[in-house]
Amino acid sequence: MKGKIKKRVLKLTALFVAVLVLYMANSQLLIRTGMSAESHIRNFYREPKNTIDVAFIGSSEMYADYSAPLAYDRCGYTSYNLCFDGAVGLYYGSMLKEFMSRQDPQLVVIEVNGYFYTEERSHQEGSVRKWLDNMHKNSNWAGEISKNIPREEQINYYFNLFKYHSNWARPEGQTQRLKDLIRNDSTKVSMMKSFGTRTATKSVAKVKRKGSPKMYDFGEQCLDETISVCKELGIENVLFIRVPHKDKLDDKTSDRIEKIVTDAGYDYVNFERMSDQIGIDEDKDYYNGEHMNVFGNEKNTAFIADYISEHYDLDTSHSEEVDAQWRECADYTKGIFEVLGSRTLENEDLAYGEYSDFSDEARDELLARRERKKKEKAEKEKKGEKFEDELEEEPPPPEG
Amino acid sequence: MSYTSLNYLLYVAVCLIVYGIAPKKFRWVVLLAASMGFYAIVCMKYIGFVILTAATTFAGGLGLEKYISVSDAYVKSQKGKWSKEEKNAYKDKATRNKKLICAAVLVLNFGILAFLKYYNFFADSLNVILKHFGGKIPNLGLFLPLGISFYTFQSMGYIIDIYRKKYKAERNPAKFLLFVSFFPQIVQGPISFYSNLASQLYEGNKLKFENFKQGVLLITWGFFKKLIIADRLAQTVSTIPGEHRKYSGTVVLVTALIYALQLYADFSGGIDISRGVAQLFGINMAENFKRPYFSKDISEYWHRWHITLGGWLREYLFYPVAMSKPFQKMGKNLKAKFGMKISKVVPVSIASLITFIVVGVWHGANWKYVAFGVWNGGIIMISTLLESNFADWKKKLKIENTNKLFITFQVIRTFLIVLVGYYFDIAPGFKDAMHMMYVSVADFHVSELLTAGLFTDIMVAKREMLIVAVATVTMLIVSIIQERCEKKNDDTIPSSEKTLRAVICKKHFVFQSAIFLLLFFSVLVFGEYGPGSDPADFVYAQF
Repeated sequence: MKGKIKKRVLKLTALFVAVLVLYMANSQLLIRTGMSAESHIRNFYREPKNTIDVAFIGSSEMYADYSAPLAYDRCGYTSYNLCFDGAVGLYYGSMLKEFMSRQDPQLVVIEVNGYFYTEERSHQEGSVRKWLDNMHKNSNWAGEISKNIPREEQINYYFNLFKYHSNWARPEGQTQRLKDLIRNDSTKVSMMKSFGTRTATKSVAKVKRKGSPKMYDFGEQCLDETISVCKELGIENVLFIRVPHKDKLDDKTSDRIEKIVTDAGYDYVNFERMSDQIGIDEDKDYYNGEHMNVFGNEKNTAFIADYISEHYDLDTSHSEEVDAQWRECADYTKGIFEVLGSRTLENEDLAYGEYSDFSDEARDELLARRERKKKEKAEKEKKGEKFEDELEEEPPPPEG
Repeated sequence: MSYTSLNYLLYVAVCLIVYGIAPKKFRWVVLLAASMGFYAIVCMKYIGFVILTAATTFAGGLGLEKYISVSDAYVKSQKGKWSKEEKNAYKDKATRNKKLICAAVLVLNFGILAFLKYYNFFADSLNVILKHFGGKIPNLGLFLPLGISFYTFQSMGYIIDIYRKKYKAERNPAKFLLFVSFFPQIVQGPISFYSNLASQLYEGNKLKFENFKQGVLLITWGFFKKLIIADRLAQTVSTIPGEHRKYSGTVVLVTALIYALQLYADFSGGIDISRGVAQLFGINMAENFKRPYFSKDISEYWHRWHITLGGWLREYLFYPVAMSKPFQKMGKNLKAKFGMKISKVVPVSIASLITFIVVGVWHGANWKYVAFGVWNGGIIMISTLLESNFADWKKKLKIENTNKLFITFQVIRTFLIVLVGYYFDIAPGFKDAMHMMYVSVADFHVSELLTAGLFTDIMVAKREMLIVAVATVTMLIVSIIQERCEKKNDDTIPSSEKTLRAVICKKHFVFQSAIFLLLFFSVLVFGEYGPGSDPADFVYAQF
């Protein structure tokens, strides 16, 4: 009898393991939060532990406007953009906790755009999932779910296949994601440390937000919460920044943020007010109102890197291995910026991330595909049918 | 908490653990608590209705039994003292009183069901007349308590059986409440006979690994049918009939075919989940489906579709009507005028027609359901009347019953008859059903079946339709294998071991696991559930 029970337990255990493995495989295969967000967050975890000098937290501005390898090339400090499109201030605290759980940065830089979203927008499933479904599954993750997700929906976050299983019907999109992931993971660490751009000076991917951004009460609460997390984690050097945008932050909002931040004993710099010093040309250095192209990125990175180096006493000594790796990344990034720069001048308006295939063949294929899809769309619309492009390029950052 | 929700599965798992831990003699209490708990979670507002039905039926059963035993004993005690007339007079009186007690319980419970189900229908019908006189009956906004049809039928079967002295009345009201409210079957059946279910509920079953395996397999198969096929097609069925005038006859016909598939997958899938859950607890509930679309005639179809309702109606309506005095008298009169054959066939046919009109009306308070009943009952009536003629024609044409081509013809013919009935089911009203049938024939174009526009019209994307097609073929293959398993002429094998899942569970562990994993992950990946999907209620839950 004992033997029979033992055999059954073994069999059930084997079956349970098979279920678990297949569940995880299916989840990995079918998840889709947007390759941009997925790569930026995924690559953060691929950085060797305790090798980052400066932590950057923010939303799309950070991967579009600041390049960590270029900053290293200029000033010698290592940094990483833990950011994604539409990242809301509500999650800055957990992003920071996640950063600090793996790295021991000397300075934390937080871009304030995430505080300009409304409460409703901050809870939109699309952007919430970009963070929660890509971060590591740990107590921080579980805490965010239990804190911010309505009880009846929490189960769909714990078991994300419940959400993504219907992606089987979009094989083209999932295949492309897998190809991007394989390319992304082909190097030991991320070569561009969270990067995304469009090769244009006036992209079709426009932002919907009109006019100067506002900080609502909810945003202020999120800012307070981020400060509390900084205190709780014992972070001494925190620099809140506003990177340049075409639609500038009004003085009242900027001053309000400054007061809250400086009252807490931290620093605040509105780089928008220094656009001229940075050398930003609004007609050439942006791909849309809120994001810089590679030209703007180079200028902005250089200015911020210099500012940090001048104002913070960073220890930029690293092991030989780390320096060698970062040197390789910097050289690679400079090469890619050169390629993308010429494409920006052609105004081809394609989206790129650190996972992209930057070859001319791939570019030609993308352009040809875009034309093909345009035709398909026109034909479908003519027939009154719905057009869905599984490989739709990264959507424009959501409005605030 | 739908049967297809994760919460329900967790609820079942917790109940199963508690059931397994509880001492054998208190296991029925766990089931009762689980059943009441389930009803309270899903439909707390109406829990009183279930308790009322259970209480009145329980009391009625005890009263009836007591009256029967007292009157029988009294008759015995008067043996030799009474004249034959006196004895008959007392027996008639006793029968009348027994009928009165039974009828009181039936009228009360069927009355509640009828009032809740049909009040609006009659109010609306009467209002059409009353509006000419300036009157109006108010709409009370009544809702049906969860599973009222199913638990009422089940309970009323019990009281009739007590009346018929088939078994002893239940002594424990809590146990009887469990029989009425057993949670895996409360939403849509199967409708069980007390003699089959009660002892299994009360005896405190030992949890067996074999039951667990078979139960899980049956539940997963139910999910496969419900979530991959039925729910994917639900939108088509719920939208197109209501707007059928916008669509071509081809689309309307395809919708009717889709409904045939959706309804079977939905109802049989739900029943599989119910039976699977019951089997986890070691309880074998009656089968409700036996591949109905393989039926060779409409009569066989009704022996394979919703078997437990059919069984209930045969036992408590058809036979009592067909054997009733007026029908026997009718038979005698017909025999004298038209001979033996007509005297046998006509009363049975009329009883069938009555039964099917009841089936139609049971489906809902709408004239279209009456038409549904008349259609099915009428076809059975005609086929019964012409049965000997068909036999003659077959003989003349030298068609054997085993001829596969003929069997295929019979199966398709029966399906088309059933399909006509479905038009009444899906159409908003009787006139719409007639119009839909007309366009399905007059405006049908084969070429339209091959256009991409068809998928847009029926609101199911090509890839989704491909999944439905693969799942349907799987269901068809499984049905064929099930049919073969059950037809095995080996009487030494109990019927419970002739099921496909029993056969699978006897195979090697790797094979069993592969089947389970394939089903489980098909449901998990291709099922219609989760955020962004609109879970469809079980079709029969509304009845």
